[in-house]
Amino acid sequence: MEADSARFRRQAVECPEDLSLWTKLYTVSQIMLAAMQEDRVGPALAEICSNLLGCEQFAIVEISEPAGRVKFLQAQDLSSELCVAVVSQAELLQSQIRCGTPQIPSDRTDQDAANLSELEVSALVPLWSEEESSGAILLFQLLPQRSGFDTEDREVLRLLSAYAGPCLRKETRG
Amino acid sequence: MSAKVLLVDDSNTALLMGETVFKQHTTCQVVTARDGQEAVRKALAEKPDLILLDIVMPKMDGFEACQEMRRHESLKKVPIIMVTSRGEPANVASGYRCGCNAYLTKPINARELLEIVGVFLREDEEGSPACQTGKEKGARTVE
Repeated sequence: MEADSARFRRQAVECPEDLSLWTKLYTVSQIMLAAMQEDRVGPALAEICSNLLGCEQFAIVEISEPAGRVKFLQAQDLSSELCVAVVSQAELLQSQIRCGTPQIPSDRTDQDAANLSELEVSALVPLWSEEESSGAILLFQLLPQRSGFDTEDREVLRLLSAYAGPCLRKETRG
Repeated sequence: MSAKVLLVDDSNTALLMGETVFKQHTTCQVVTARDGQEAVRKALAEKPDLILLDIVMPKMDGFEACQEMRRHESLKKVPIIMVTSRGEPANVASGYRCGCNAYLTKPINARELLEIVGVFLREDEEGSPACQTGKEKGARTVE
């Protein structure tokens, strides 16, 4: 993560045409590094979702294999009805997590994507650590000024997918 | 002397992003504050050339902070750009009523941020914002 961070910082200077992207990736890497040291990974993810992705309604869920029990590690602005709906869709979430990369239902036309959309999920970021899936970050409604995820957002989602799993695992294991 | 920018946000992420952009791509001095009260204190003490102000913050929100700053003679003409996730028209209108000069919604795009800051800081003879070339302070053009 530290090596990535140094690279992102360098790229932000060397590639001014992609200044915004590299600055965002640098910010994510630095915030996650600090959060891991301070054991505040959940709040850090909330800040990243809000400030860099324009999403203030989100959840971090852990899904036990193979039972498929959903446990909320963190949730922000979720109604109880939505929480119940998420819990009832463990199997769907597990299948999407197994894809291994961030899933944006509006990109797809298959039934799983439709089911994710029905669950009001705008993006699912799988959490993996030591080659085991542990859960996902679920992003729901975006802020009114956002109409979807652009290229920069997708890079941020990919980076979160790589960092958040190991960071959360370290935090929960102490 | 380079221009001084006061960044106000209670989010580490927003502050780090803003600081990184200014430090890497301008010669602006950056001062930070984490709530509205601290923002007013720092604005009075540091006399920034431009203020980037979040709205939802502890102790004193951005609207109140903006109004409070405008009550002080030394801050009446300092450009204040509200930077917030609250992009609804009512919030934008409230921001302007409180005395802000411009309104940016999150998520912030670094390039847009530099562009709007450049508009409010005086252009030097080469057309670059003063904060990029380290030209004299007090360099701002409002409106």
